[in-house]
Parts: sequence; C-alpha cells; structure tokens
Amino acid sequence: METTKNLYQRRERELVEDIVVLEKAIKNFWEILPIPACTTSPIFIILETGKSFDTLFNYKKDELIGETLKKVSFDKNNFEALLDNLSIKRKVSNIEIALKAKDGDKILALVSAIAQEDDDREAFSYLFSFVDVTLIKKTEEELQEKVVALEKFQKIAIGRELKMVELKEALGRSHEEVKKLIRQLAEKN
Amino acid sequence: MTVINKEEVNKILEKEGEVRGVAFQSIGDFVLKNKGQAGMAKTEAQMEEWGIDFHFSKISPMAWYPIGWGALFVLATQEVFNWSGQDIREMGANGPKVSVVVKLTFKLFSDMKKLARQVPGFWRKNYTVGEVEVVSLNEEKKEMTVRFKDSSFHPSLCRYIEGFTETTFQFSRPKSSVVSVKETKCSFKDSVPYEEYIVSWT
Repeated sequence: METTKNLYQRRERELVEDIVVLEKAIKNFWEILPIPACTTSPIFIILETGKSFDTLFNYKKDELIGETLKKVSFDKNNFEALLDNLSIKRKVSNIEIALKAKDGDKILALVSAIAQEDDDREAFSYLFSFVDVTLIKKTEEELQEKVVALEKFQKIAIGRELKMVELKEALGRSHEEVKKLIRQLAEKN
Repeated sequence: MTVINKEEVNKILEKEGEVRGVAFQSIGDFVLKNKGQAGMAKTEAQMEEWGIDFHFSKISPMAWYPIGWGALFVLATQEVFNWSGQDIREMGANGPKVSVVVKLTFKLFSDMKKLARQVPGFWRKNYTVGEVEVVSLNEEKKEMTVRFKDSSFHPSLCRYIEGFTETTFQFSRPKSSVVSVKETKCSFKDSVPYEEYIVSWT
C-alpha cells in the first residue's frame, strides 16, 4: 500500500505536471487570443499582455509590462473615470472609450474588465479586454454622412419634381388663357 | 575577471535544498534577450565547466533543482559576459516580468500589509530551504525591512534580489511612486546570518 509520504509526493508531482500544462496553455492563450487583452495589478500596472494587445497599440512584446495602463489612454480624465468606476464596481462591460497607440493614433474601443479578488473581496489583479471599434465607428460615420447627403439630394430632387408639376400646371393654365385670348380675338374679328 | 573560483563553486553546489525551475526562467530570459542563443550556449558551457549538466531548454518551471544551480546560473552569466553588479541587478529586475505563474500567484495587493504577508509564502513556494521574513513595516515612513535567512550564496546574488524585489514592489505602486531596494546588512560583509534589505517607496 502507498505510504502517506509517497502519496503526498505523487500528488505534488501530479499538481506540478498540471501547473506546467496550465502555464503552457495560458502562454498559448495569450499568443492566439484575437481580442486584445491584458492583466494589471490593482493600481493598473500592466503585468501581462496578449499578442493582439501589443499589435493593437503598436508596442513590442513585453514593452508595456511594468507600465501603467493609463499609457494607452487618449483622454486621461475619461480613462481615469473608467478605472475609478471599475475599482468600485469590480466589473465593467463594453464601455466605449478613446485610446492611444504608441504612435499617437486614436483607437476607439469597447473596454470590459473584471477584478480578481481574494476571500476578503480585495482585488489583487484585473483582466482587461479591448474590442477595437475604430473601423466600425468610421464606417458608421461615413454611412451617416451618406444618409445626410442622400436626404439632402432627395429634398432637392423632390423639390424639383414639385416645381416641375407646378410649372406644368402653370403652363397648362397659360395654354388655356392663350386659347381663351385667341378665341376672344376671333370673336371680335 | 573571475567572479568565483572552483572552491567557491563547490561550496555552493554542496548546499542543501532545492529551487523551482521558474527561477531559471527569469535568468534565462534575460540572457536570451541580451545575448541570444549563442550567449545561452556560452553560459551552459560555463556551467558544464563547473561540472553541472545544465540545459536551459530542458528546465521545467515547476520542477525542483539543486538550489546551488540557481545561484551558479546567475554567476555563470557574470563570468562569461563580465557583467557588473548593476547588470545582475537589472537581471533581477527583469525576473518578475517573466513567469505567467509567478504573476498569477503572487497577489500584488496595493495594501502594503497584505503585500507584506505574501512575501514569505512566495519564497516557500519556490525554495525548499531558507526563509524570507518581513521584519518591519512602517507605512508612515513608507519603508519595509525584509530579511533573507539561510540563503547566502554570493554577493552578486544580493544585487539580483535587490532588482527582483524592486520590480515586484513597483508592480503594486503607482507609476509616479519610486520604489527603491537597498541591502543594509550582508552576511558576506557584516557577520550576520542573513541579508537584510530596506524597501522604500514614495
């Protein structure tokens, strides 16, 4: 029968094997995750970034580790308000906010975040995701501009059509009056 | 310049205890970033010269290895690349940035009392000998005194610990806060059986 010492040793070995597998899986997850994501400490110091996160903000791998997350904020006040809200609620979902890439380019993103807490509900880290909606927003704006232009065109087109109807009617009336005048002239003669 | 002689190497190798592979990951990452694969090969050759059959690529982060190997891995890089104490400090500072498991398991509370409680456990998770004790925490003065007991290897390792501790605490402080770690007592200089560090922050 397996002794207690051997049992503990075997269990530890198995746990270690599991942790190694988990660490590799987490690393692969960061590498392949298509949504830009990162983890931070409770005061929002970046601890880990995924490949998509580095790509979105145009940073090299590990370049942002140890930096404050505020480094990617476009409007500091708005971003701080979001972080304050997160510190209180411990979870935020799809908050639209302007962010900034390394080269200064503005990025519009939907930010979601959740706190990891200990048993006393004290946060010891946060997990963030950033869904880039810059292109969607740009397309939306372009579409809106086109809608406005179309409405303007429609107004002009309909206005012209009404004018033509008016002119046609006026022309008809003029025709009638000319006919009437010709008739009156003929009667006089 | 020789950092360590054969006799000192043997003394370190004789030390009892084990360290998790995760410690090697931090050192290896720094070597690969700064010296590439060729630099790693040179470091491994130095380890082999000291009689250690060490291959970084075969190190498993959660497996246990002789405690002396960890210290000698650092010293081998110093020997091969003629790195200064400041370089070793930077190597230590890079450490907490590397392992996913360390970042997940070391809970970086912003409350210093809670963070201080994490420190001894972090050591125990990764080393089978030695002990880390938070001797004092003065939140008003923004200072913490930490002692590393029964884990003296070489003065260069003190620089590594300074750098490692500094980054770890910096992770839990605002970016505007400056964290500084300074060794105040060293078993190699002060006839004490421990290394003592003062962690301070602004």
